[in-house]
Amino acid sequence: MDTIHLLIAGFGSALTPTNLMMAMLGALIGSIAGMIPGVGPTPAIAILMPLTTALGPTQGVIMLSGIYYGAIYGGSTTAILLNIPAELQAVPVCFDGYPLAQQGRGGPALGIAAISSFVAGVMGVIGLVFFAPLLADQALAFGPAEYFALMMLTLTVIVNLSGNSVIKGLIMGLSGYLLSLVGMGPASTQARFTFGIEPLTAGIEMISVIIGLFAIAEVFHSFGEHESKAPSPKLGSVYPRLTDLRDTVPTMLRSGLVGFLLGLLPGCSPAVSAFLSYDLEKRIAKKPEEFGQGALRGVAAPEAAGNATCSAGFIPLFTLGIPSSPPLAILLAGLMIYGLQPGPMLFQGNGDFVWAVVASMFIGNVMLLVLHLPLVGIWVKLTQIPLRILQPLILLLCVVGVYSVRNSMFDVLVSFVLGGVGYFLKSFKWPLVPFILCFMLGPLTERSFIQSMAISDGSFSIFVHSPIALTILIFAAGLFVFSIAFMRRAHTRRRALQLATTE
Amino acid sequence: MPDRPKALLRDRRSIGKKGKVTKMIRRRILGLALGVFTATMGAALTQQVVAASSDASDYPSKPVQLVVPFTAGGGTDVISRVVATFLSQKWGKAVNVVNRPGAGGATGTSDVLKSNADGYVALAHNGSSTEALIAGNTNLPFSIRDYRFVATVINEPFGLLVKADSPFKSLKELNDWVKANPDQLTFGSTGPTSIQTFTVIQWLDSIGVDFAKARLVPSNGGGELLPQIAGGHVIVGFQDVTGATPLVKAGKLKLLAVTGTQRTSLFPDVPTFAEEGAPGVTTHFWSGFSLPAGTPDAIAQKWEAALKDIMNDPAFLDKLKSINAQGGFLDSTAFAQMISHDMDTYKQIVKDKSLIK
Repeated sequence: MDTIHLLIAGFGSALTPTNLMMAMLGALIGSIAGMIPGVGPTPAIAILMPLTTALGPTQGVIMLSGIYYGAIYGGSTTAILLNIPAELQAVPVCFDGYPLAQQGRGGPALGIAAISSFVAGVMGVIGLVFFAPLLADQALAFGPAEYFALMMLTLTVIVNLSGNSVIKGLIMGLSGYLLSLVGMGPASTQARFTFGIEPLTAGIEMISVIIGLFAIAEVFHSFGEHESKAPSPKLGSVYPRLTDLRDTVPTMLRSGLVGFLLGLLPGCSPAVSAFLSYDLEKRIAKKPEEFGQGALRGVAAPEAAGNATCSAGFIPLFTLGIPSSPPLAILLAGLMIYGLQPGPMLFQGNGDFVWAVVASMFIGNVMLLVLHLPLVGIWVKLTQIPLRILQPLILLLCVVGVYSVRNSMFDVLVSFVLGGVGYFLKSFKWPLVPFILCFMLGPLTERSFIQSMAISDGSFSIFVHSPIALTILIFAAGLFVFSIAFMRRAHTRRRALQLATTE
Repeated sequence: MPDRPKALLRDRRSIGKKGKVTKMIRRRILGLALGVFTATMGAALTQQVVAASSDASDYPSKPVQLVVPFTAGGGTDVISRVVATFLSQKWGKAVNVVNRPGAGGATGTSDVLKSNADGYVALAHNGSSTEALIAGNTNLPFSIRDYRFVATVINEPFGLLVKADSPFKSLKELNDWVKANPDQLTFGSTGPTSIQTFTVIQWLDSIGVDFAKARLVPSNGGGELLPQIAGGHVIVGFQDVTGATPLVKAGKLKLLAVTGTQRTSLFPDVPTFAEEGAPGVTTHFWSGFSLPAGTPDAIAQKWEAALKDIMNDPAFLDKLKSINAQGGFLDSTAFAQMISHDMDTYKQIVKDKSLIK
């Protein structure tokens, strides 16, 4: 009860007009930064942190959390409308978001994304307020062996996201893994696959790959398209219908929970939960064939899961001082400069300030929803811009975004090369998702495997002795076999159907 | 570079195939471009001459780039951001923090050291990206002579950490266990030639345990390592005291000892290795700032004086306190001495244990 009292007091201090302005400003700046491919939350927070120090603690923190939530949400806007994911977690949002935009349902898709983001954000804040210390302890049980098992589980998603050929999916996955090996190995100071090219020793940046394969390849692809085939000839209704909401709310809650639980693990990427929950929703759907053709649930699932993971990251951050992602690390730095001391004594030691921060997170989420539902109409008009104006603009943003990650022109070059590769892969219908998934998971899997082996002195028994790891691994193996069998059956059935119709 | 003549040749050939008119237009464009190019170059040159001849009284006359060779959010990054804010206020010109991570800090460091030594590109660095990196790598594009060391602002010990409910209540108990079970020891570190590994070597040498028997669990930094120790997956790890403070205060980690001879004010009850009879465990964590070698003395001195002023500013010390950091100012001479001393120590370790083949 005390908690609720304190939270109300926190709202009291966060709800002054100035503070509301700050939340709004933060959410707006954040979402614009999030929309620009490659910019995202980390640079947005890093650049604006000095600015917020001029504001004083409460206002500064309110603005920072607004920026954080805004930047996380912003990525889905370009994913849905232009098929351009600004961050990895927005990749699965494209699967159904873009087809929806093409069908003139971009408005409802954006609306559902905003609502999913809100639901996930609120779930994260509730978790932080009521269960933080309890949950943080559980997360520590996750060691290298458990992470390795989790990575294996995530890799099974490939089967479901390979389009019509698992073989093609596996080939793409392996290629993505090979590309991820470039640079320094995890356990040695040896450079791998750099061929004497110095910039390659630093490895290939994730953002360059995403922007190259998805954004730049998409622009190249649209060069070939005729002007009359512009993405969305009609706007359609801008807001989601009530039935749309009824259909997607269970998805939001399910995916939000998945994302939240994964977000408690320090180091778990929001992209992992976005992919996993998209896969989950597709599996349990009554009509899985709708996924990828423009299912609103396909937008709600990755959006809610990814954002819940980001919000849940506040729990290990506040209770243990462990930032699970770069934007959280820099946010923590900001909070600490304002005098926030993470740890279990957080809520006792800093009292009012902490509750104001928590309340401001909640307000940041509300602001985002309030801000974006009216803006949906404006964003949707983006698709009405003629391609000949839009394309160079997107390319420009891509260059700026890729460059800004590491301030490296080499990364820009890499993204254009991959853009060319992506164009051909797309033209010949090779699935890009397994490639990017393995590019992301490859190094994580390798590192957790090497760590496990170092801990067990080279014995595989470590995966059997850990009940968590063993359970996840068995589940992953089962899922893999089941998916392959399921795909086979669907394939033969399709064949039979085709034969029947031709006869 | 060798590609360029080939490209020119290709260009000339393609011109030959085209009509005369296009050729003329091309030439005109080329001429125009050349003109613009020479004009800009001329302007740039005069500017540089002016910059070189002037003293540091008008420095900085434009924004300064402070390159952090790590991703945003780490210890050195946070300190750099705080220092950048204070320097901007002091100089009235923006000091912008730029993260250029990669290859253990080598990417950003090399970029700064190769840039114009005009004081407008500075480097924020620490032991991992400096002595440990140079001692552990034979093929870096820079050496210790390419730095103009300015000053350090942070200097603190590394702490030896075990999980909070571990059976080891003191360094002695841990030492006894390690002596009895050297092949059971796992430690977390960012690599075979990282400062953490050097620290483990110094510690094991001090109790006469063969380092080769201990098992390194590679991690990509404190954010990954500390939860692994707290969760009981890895037995020990060394981390700068600032980085370890939240988890120690949260009751998830136990700090058994700190390196060096001086106790830390954050945990005054924790003994030093020297007190426990191991004066050879000397590694320490510092963060400081440097410029490329060849930077005019006046500019380097202006940096040094500014950093010294900041270190005496109560507002800055307050900020340090709020991020649990311990200030430690070394002027350029002491800084360079410290680096060369550490280099000798680390190089000797690398040689003794043949850490690089």
